[in-house]
Amino acid sequence: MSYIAALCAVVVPVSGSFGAVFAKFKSDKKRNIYILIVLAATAAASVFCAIGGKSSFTVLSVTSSLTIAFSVDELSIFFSVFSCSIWLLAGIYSFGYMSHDAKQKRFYVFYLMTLGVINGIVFSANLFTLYIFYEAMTLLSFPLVMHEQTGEAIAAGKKYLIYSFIGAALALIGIFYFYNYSAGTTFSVSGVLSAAAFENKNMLLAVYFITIIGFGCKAGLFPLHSWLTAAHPQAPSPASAVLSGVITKMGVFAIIRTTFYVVGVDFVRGEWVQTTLIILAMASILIGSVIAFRTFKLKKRLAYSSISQVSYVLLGIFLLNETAFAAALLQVIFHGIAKSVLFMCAGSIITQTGKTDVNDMRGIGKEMKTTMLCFAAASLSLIGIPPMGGFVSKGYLVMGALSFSSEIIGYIASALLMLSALFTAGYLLPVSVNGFFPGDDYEYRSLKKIDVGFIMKFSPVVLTLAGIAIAVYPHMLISLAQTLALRIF
Amino acid sequence: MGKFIMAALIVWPLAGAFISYLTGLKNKKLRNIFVIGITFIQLVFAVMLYKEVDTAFLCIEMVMGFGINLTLSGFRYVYIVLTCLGWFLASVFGMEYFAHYRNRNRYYFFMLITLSATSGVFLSADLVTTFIFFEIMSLSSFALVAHEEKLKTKEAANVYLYISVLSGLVLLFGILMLYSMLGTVEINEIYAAASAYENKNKIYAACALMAFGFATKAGTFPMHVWLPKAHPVAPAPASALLSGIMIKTGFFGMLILSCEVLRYDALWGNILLAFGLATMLLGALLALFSVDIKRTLACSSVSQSGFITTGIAMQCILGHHNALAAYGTSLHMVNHTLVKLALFMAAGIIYLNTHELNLNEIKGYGRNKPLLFLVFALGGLSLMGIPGTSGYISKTMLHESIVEQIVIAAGSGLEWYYRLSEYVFLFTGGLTAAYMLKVFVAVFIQKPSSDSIQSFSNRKYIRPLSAVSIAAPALMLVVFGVMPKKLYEKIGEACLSFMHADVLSHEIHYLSFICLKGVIISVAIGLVVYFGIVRTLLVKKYSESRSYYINALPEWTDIELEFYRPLATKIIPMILSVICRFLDRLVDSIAALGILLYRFLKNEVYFTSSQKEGTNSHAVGQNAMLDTVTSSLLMFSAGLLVVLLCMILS
Repeated sequence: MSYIAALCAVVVPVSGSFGAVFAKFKSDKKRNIYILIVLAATAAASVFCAIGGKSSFTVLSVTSSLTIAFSVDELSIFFSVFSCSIWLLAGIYSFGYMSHDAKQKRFYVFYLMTLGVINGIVFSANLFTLYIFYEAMTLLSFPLVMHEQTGEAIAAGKKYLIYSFIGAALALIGIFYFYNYSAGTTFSVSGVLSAAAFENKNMLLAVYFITIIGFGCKAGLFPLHSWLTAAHPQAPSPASAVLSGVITKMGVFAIIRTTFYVVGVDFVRGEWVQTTLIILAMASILIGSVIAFRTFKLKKRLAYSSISQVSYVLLGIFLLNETAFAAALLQVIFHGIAKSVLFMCAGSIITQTGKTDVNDMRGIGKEMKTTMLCFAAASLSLIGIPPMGGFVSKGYLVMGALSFSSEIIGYIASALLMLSALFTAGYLLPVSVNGFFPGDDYEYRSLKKIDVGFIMKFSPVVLTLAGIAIAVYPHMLISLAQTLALRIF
Repeated sequence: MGKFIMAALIVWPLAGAFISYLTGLKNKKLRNIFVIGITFIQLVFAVMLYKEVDTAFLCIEMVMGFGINLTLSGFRYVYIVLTCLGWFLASVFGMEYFAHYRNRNRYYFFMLITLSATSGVFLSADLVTTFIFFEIMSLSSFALVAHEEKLKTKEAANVYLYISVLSGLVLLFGILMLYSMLGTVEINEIYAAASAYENKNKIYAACALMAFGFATKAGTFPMHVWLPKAHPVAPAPASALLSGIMIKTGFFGMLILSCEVLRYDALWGNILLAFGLATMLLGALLALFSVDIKRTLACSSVSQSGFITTGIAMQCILGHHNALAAYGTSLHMVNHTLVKLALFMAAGIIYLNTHELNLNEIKGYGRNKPLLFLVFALGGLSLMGIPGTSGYISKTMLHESIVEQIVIAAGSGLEWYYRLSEYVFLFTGGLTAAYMLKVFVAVFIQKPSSDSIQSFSNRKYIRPLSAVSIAAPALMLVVFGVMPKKLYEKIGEACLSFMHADVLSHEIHYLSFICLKGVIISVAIGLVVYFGIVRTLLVKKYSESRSYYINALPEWTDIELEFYRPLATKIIPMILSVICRFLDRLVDSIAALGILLYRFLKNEVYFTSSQKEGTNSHAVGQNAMLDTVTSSLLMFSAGLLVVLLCMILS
């Protein structure tokens, strides 16, 4: 049954976006309601998948083994529900943020369509389907990045395209190679490659490595990460929120599928590939947090922070043990929530004050109380301070790293996580501290409450509260993550 | 029943924080009453736990991913009651103190959150729970420290914040390391698991990391730097809580390490002893030089932390004979809590009336103020350890435990170490007397140097409620000191089970000559230091009648400012950022090189974007791209240079 829901989750937003192209709305408000309904319907569809349980469904057979097929399993439900919720809330936020924009229609068309293809990635049953939707996602999110059409935005968009295509091309090499050795690369736990593939072990390892680097591009994995810090700050804030919160996670998703469902975890474990990938993830963690510390444009800082935080997820995956994998899934959720809140708040600050530099934001907490409270809570979550979510995921991640087979790497990785958390505190806390503690020379008389309206407060507040609730009682999430981890290992 | 009360101790102030905040938006008077009411009920809850000691246990699984475990033992009970008492007194006192402050709502909100977290630390039954509450406490108390928002306040508060975050992370690392080694961090089970673990060095490593985190909160050298900065700038009631109670959460952790994980471990004890001695001496010296009354008190807290750390170290060293050290440690903690509650709030009264903390400005302010005089005198005497106060009891016990170890270690290679410890202990006792005399004489005996302050003394300077809240802890000092056997030793006895110490084998005669000898030596040293150094070297005389205290401490002694801060904010980020920027631009630079090469071959190289004026957005995009290209190239070559340098140097 659930494949129908999965199909809906793909078809509804795509057809909805075509609707938005052709329909003539009397007012922006009516159009917004329409968009909201489409987003909500998609979210509902993905929740129905969760209720329906596992199933699979072939849409189209190009050849006997090359098929476009969907399947629903725990992992896809996990990512789909997560993506749709963030998308829905960022969408609600965008009704406020985009309200004075001249090209709203274009934005919403691509916004909806991207959600459709993301669900396509998530529900795809084989690597070929995944690749098609993956490329579509790049193309469809490109207009979101360069929406503002300033010189910088266009340059950032180009960079985004070039990097994504390089990444996808690398991944394509892998897909071709894997295709030779399997029946249609249909995902299944512990790998689908035939015995012949393992005969040429080094070749397979190298191809796997290239594939991961390619998919890692979307997730901001060093060395193909630098599109992220160009593209995320240039996009309009709701788009940045989903770019950082969700689209980077699609890279992660593809890596999980390749590692655990195509190549198989036992083949990779203990090989040079694993060590190298761990080192690359650690390098990205360090690069992101150190440069964010030295960057003073808020959105750019947040983009660098994404590189480091999404690499936490990748580190958790590359460690290849249950605790670390559960930690990675938790980090997907908590980073998705925190980072989209941060980008939304940054957007609110920009619309209300026009300030982009963190040094100008003294007293911002007095002016925009609710927004900055959400910002502060999300900052604490990213650093990993209890009772916020980051603590749970990072605590589990360190536990996972410490139980890694190579003790030295385990200790270095945990120490690095701590160092990175310290830098995270260094680049996020001053914003809230200076915002709420402006100093005794701050002019309270000229203080104007300029916080954003309800519609732009709603999503950050809901996400923040949800984040705290999930963090304080993460039982369901952890047991889900552990079930998944158990199935895979 | 105990379960619910323990949960209430954490949830109630948390709920109270929101209630008081929302009330405060409407009505400030009502909010003040609410806060006092909330802390009072919290105190009642704490006292009600009396029957549940050693039986109460609460386990909530999966909260924060690791589960929250709470328990209650004698020591925890003592500290829970003291915590709630401190908060109650501070909120009563705050009513007067904060009357003219801004952002009081924020202050009370975070004060109550801190109360909840501090209670949580003392109730925690496993180290992850300890950490969770510890971290919340550190972060929320930042808001208390930064409350006044002056330039100096903000600087000190930032030091506090970042040192807290750093120490919290190191602590977490240590705890998780221990967790992954032993499979448990339940405080009751740790000892068995740790002694069964074969690789002792790894346990030491984990403990060192955890000790770093806890000792930072406790103000132990060399991580004491935040304390003399942060405590003086906080509002007085907050300083009292920070110094009196929150420091003790650090000791709570140190006690877990020393009495559970590494129980009776002499090596650990000897190392800890060195840190304890350094801390006590350094703190006392800093206090001696200070000319700011709250800074003196804060430095004194560092010094007293050293005394407590020494006590903990002696527990480890003495092994199974550590009853004296265990009594001494727990009672000295209680003593210090009460002293600092009284003294910091008393200093707050002075600040409230004069808006000054500098000794030269408040000189003579305390004349003809019997209540203030009494509170200060009692606090000071107890800090010095004069008979008749609780400080005497605990200090004597600590001293006797060192003496005991000298006897045990006689003839062994380490005897000199313990003898040296005794000398340092007595000498620091002397310094304590000297710096307290300095403050006391300046405030209560010397004549004021300016007229403005004199005029204050005729006004009513303290409200009755505030008077009660500063007098109560001071009075307790005497009560405990006068009745050591009936009351004070009972408190110590309650704490023993937590520290796994035996009951005292023999009764202590507090007024015997052996016990008094230490005090006499200390006071003698104190008088010599006071008259020999403080009154001669640290005072500058204008004329016969006019003189002022000088801070003879040179700038460079501030190791936080001179050493830690440049290291943490400049040097390390600088080095890391050079490496990271190189890596960050790596692919861009390679691409840029390719593009440049291509253009060079086609003869259209533009090195700067200014050569080509952009008219449409496309051209601007091109220029922006070229900008990235050139800067990437620069970064790339810089990175190459660094790599070359590294290769040459290695």
